[in-house]
Amino acid sequence: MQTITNGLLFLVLVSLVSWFFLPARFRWAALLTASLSVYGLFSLPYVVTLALCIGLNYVIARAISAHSPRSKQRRAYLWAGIFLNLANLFVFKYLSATLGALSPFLALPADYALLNIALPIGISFYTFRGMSYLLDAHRGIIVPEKHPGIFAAYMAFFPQIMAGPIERASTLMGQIKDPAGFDESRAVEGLRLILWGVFKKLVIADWLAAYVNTVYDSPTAFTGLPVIIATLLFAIQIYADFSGYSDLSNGVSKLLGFAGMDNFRRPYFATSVREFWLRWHISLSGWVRDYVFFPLARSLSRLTHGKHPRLIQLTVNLITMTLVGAWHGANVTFVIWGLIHGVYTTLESWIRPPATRAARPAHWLGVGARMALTFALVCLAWVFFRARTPADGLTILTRMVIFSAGDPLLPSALAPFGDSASFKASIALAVIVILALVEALDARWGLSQLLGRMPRLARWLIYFVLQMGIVVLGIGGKLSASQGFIYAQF
Amino acid sequence: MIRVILRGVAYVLFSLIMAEAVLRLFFPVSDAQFQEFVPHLGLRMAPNQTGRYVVGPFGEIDTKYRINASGWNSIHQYTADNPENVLRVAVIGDSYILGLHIDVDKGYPIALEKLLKEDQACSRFDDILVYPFGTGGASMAKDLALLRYAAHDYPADVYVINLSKGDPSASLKSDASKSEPSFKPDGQGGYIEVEPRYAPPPRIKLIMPSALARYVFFNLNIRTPNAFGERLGLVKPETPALGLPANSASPSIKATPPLVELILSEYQAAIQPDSHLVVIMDTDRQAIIKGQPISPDIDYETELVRSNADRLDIPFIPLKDVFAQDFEQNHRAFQFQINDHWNEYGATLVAKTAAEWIASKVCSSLKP
Repeated sequence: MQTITNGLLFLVLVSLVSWFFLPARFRWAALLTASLSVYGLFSLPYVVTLALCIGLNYVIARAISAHSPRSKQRRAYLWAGIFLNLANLFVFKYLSATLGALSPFLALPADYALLNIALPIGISFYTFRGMSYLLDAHRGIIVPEKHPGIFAAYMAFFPQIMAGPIERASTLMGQIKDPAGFDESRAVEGLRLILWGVFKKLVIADWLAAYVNTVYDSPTAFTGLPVIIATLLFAIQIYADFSGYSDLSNGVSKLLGFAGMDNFRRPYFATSVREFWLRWHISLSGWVRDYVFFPLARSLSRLTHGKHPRLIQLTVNLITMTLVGAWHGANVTFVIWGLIHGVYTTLESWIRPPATRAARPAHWLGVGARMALTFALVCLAWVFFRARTPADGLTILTRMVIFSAGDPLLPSALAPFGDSASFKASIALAVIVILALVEALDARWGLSQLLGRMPRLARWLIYFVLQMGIVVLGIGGKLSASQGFIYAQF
Repeated sequence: MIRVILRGVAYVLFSLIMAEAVLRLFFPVSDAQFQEFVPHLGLRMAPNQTGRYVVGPFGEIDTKYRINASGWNSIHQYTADNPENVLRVAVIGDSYILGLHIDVDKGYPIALEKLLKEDQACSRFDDILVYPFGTGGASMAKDLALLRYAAHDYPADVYVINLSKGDPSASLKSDASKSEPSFKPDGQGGYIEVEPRYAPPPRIKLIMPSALARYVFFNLNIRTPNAFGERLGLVKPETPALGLPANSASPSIKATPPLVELILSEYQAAIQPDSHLVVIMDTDRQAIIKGQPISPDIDYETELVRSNADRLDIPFIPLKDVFAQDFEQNHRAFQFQINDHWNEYGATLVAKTAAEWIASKVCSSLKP
């Protein structure tokens, strides 16, 4: 096994170096080799699953493009493609849970072999990428790629294979076909993003995870402040974790000369839940908006001749957000999380329709209050995303409002940190302040521009501080294996 | 591109120099401890080293060590001669006995020595000396090599073998490092010894003057690319192989009763006829602290050693009850937060247990 790992590592290195030196028309080969090798490093047996998924989407997309836009065959190929993609996703992601739930009725043995199917890394991401490719080909937004190698390089694009973003062919494929040369400023920005992404994951997310895990793994052990703090910290943890990965992925893409796409735009600065979804996991929310929300809303509107707009809105929001929740995994908690967001967005639209918003003056106090309210609502929904079961989620929500009169506030708030609690709390506070500061500076001036205007020494000192933070708090702080990226499980 | 590469190289140099300066000025950084290879014995600490042993990014463990001229972490310089009215105890084992985690003058051997000197039954000896023979990660097979070495070079009146979780299975060649003693199946249901092969100690001397290198290597305990990958979450930590021995009741334990019996009988054969031998077995202390059941693997290993020790008439002391009873009474942690090693309190508890046995079974039975 070690020999295979070393061989794959060697392949990754060779193909990445050759990416810069090969003529543009052959670079897809280097990218594809690197992508499959990276995937193999994490999940060797499932390279076959990925390859099958690539082959399937390539063949079906070519078949779609071979028929005229309004032909029945074209539609049939599209639906066949969508069905096969979803079937693949279902087998690996939902079959075990479905069989588990149905086992009492189907009289299956408890150790039914299929219940132990391992989830291929990134399957939800590359399946959705494949489906968007077929849908775009069907709609005529893109012309399906003839070159199977270039298509495969797009599907397996290694910076995004594990946890997205789900970048569409319309923006990425062209860059693979006609790769840009080495761009110094883009490469430097890429390195900055990699450093910041690693810091967010190893220092911020992993450091906060210790507190969150203590509370959420024993939901009946805490009440009041620790439960509220753990929920707030989880909101920050999951953001730092997932956006850290996205920064890392974006950084590597930029280093190779790709434009990369932003998957997050300071989501906790949103002043409504709808705006939150324009800033959080942008590639997934965009995917669902374009391929589910709008088509469904149009169909229902046609079906009801434009009557009952509120009911349609509620139905479409609930279906869309439930799909977003279920995309994360075969756990009811994700579905509940999605449903809560569906209710939020519907109620928001009913109370403050989008058309009335621009007319209102944006006083900073009002903006701040709306931001705080949105953050609180999002945090309440996170409870179900993080809880192991719906019952745990309800327990957490109930225990949030239970305060024991005799409990001193500060010690009880620090308790989940365990030993050296004040020290750990100071570090947690410091890393949250750093994150908030960076986000605020980025929102106000743009971080790249700000860093670009600084003297080199000051810039290097900032990089150095982040680097030391990663070594001391990130790598050293745990003295055990790090937790993987949360979204890599999906 | 060349300009970017040059700028990158300049930044790497800048950050290395800065890291070196920051670590030297503001962080407790461990000194480097070097090892040497000894024929038949395998790796152990190189003689004549003193320094500071630090574990953790902020120096969560920060102790002093003193490796004597014979290569053992002890306040004593060892002498081969064992005078008649001096009680000499050899304690043998792994990193717990090497004892870098506790100051050399406060560890298990010193605690044992003090307790024995205070004991009425042992007071008739002119002096009591406890010599530790510990090497990091020692298996039962390595303990046998250490025991033979101690019995030959520094004969003692009592030999205390300290076993930890995994020590029986780690004695198999398949699990042991090539530079450490081990056993392998002989193909007829038995086992034969495998001599340690010379392995040059890690070539780390050159980089050890650097505080950054020592910080990564010792404070953070990152010694291989795999360990680095694990810490980053890129590599999954290795899990024990399952289902190997058909005759094992616990599928994750590879050691078999014949192997443990063979090693224990070799322990008996290695010591002088008039000396005493006792085997102490550590337990799953983390489970005791958390109020969880002891890991079945450790229970199985303990039973494996106990049953064979009983058959061979070797005194055996499991520490499970010692730690459990103490935790119930005092609720004091006996190990560090940052790793599983005994802290000073835990070492004293083990020393008390060993001292009680030596006082009752050895001191009172030896004729003046």
